[in-house]
Amino acid sequence: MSDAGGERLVLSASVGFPEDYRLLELTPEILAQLEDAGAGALVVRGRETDTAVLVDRDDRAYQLHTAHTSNSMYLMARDAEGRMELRTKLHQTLELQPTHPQIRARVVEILGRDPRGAFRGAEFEEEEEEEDHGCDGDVAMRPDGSGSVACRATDQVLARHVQSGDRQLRRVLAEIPAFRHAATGRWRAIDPGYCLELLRLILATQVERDWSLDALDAQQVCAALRSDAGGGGVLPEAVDAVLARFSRSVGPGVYAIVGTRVARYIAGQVFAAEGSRAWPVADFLAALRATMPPQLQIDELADPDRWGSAHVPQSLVRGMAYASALVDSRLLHTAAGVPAAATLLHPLATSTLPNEPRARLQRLFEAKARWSASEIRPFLEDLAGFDAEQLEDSDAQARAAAAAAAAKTADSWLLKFGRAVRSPDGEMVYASRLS
Amino acid sequence: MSQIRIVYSKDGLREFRLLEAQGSLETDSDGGLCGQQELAEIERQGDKAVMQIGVHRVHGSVVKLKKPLAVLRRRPDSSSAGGDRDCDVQYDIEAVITEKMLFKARPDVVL
Repeated sequence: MSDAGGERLVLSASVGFPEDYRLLELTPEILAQLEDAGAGALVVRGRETDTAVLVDRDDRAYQLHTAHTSNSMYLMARDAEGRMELRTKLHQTLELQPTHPQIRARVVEILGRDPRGAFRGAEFEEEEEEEDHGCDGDVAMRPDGSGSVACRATDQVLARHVQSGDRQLRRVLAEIPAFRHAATGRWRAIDPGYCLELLRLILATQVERDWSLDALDAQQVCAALRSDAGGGGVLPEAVDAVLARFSRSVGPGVYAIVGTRVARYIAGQVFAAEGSRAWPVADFLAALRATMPPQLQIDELADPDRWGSAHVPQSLVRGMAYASALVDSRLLHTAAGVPAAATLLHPLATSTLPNEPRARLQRLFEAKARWSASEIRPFLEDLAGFDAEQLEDSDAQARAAAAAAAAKTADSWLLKFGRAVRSPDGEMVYASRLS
Repeated sequence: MSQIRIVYSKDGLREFRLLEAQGSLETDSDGGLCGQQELAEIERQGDKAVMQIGVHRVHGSVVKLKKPLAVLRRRPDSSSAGGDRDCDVQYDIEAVITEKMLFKARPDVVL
């Protein structure tokens, strides 16, 4: 019963006190998503050995933490007669802390369950697609009943094991690249060598039929490949996945090839082929040019002199390699940097780094003792929420704003976990303050 | 392994209140607080609140929560008798609380 401007509550306790309730802290964004939709569900994903992660509708991930208090928290609700009843007493709430789960590593692990390995073309698929008997999202029976195996990668299995939203999961699958087999619903990773081979076939077909690189129709491409002598057994899903990997979508099933995406993919393969070898710039560019399809001209590759150490953080290998100097490393952190002829490229893929700022910076400082802000930012921007490929279609202003926001976040981590020192030339560089 | 679903429905929300106290509500009754009737009164005026329990009166305040709290209640398990490993645990959001009544002062004795 309420008086004007006031309220009087008479408390009782429910018959079932204390009842089984929990309190979950919501972010304003999650609450807005739920209220806007009117109905929906939040899903906490992961394996039993993972830290529980909740993913919201915008693919933001949060770790669940229990926060304890010595205070007593009583939940009250009205009973059928309108009386206020104590329902339970709590000393803890569940809090949400932003996190970046290791998505790619988990997806690659699940895709790797296929005993045939990555897809190398229909002609190499000797075994029939086998059923996973009674897959429960985790394990299935072997077809001969002799035991159980881990389920292969279906949408259900990926949703249960990967701590990400659907949009982000699809982006990771597209980036690998992987395709979903229409007949079985299973995802298959495409072998890197076959991926490039298929791309070359696509580009050769494009030249032969005088199609525009900016408007490749996936169905037409697949039909052409199938009709050619060398394209027998081409899977439409694989063609679509390869086109999507190296292109922008310009319409339903229509793609515009992006040369830099191809160059970055090949660069990753060049680095991966020789482990942690440091590459003189000239050798790296020669290896890259030797593998690049001739139809794709990248200005950046044509001028080796542009590849001084100062250019590397903004080059097509940003986030994949860092520069060091063959001679006189004091020049590394000067405004002009080290010339291309004296620059070495050290492979360091962002995808292999920890997904938490402190641990990532620790790993980066283990790789190199001193970094300038411009050198290190490419290795932090994914944690700061910046995805250059996703912003390819955005206008320059939007891209610049997103990059600036990510740089600000990265700089805050540098201040927290790094120690700023001035190089002899006056450039600000960072060393680790982590033990 | 299982996933946990937390289900929200605007139509299914109820009115819940949160009371936070530095002490706790105790009773000599064998059954504890369970089923106790009219054990306390709270008068709220604006952002002030006063709770009276027997001869004890404690002053408090109504504060806005920094982040809203969802009140979760677990649905009964729907797993089969065979121990289905694919069982999803589900919670319903029964309310979203945006403020609490906080009592952190020592109670006075009122005769």
